[in-house]
Amino acid sequence: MNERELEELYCATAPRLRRYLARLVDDPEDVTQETFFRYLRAGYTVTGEERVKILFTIATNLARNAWNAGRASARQGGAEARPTFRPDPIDRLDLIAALRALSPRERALIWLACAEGYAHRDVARMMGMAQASVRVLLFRARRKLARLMERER
Amino acid sequence: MIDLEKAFAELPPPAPDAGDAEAARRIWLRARVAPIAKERLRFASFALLLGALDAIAMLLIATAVSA
Repeated sequence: MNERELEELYCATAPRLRRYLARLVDDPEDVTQETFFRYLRAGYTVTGEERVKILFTIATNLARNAWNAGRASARQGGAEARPTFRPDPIDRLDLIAALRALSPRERALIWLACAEGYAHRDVARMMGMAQASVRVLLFRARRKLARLMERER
Repeated sequence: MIDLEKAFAELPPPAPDAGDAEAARRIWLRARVAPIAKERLRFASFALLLGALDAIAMLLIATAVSA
């Protein structure tokens, strides 16, 4: 990949990654840039949508590290483990408010499946889980999210 | 019952950022520089190790001579 190709990929994909990461971490911009850096360093030779799937996988791994670090520091210092969730003024308020009540893993699952429209197989790969587990967890997360949104109405 | 598909479909599309092209260039540069920096760090570590071993050897020789 050359500089121009990276620029094109970044401009086309970074907004989607940022929007996803804004649901999961405190600093979506930093994590987005780190995602692309790691993608470049790994020297992937894939093309098309496969590149985007790999980027989402790297971003999910980085977000997971941030959740784990947050949990570890919460255990040590007694602070809130859940990463703060940046409000997005342009998004629908009830959906955003309900998402905030889910766990980071549930948020990631829901976002990848519902907002990004990835198949269970792809979500499983991105989250490092079995496809059957994704199906069950996603069903529960969707039901929980729907209930939360009903309650807010 | 809430229609989640509809709720997600109504989300506005991801907004591009004016700084994206610049950020991509920075990442490209960082990825190009990182292996060079790593190699230099490895070389510096090796040089430091050689220096330390040399100093230890000199110390041992000096101790043996004075004994």
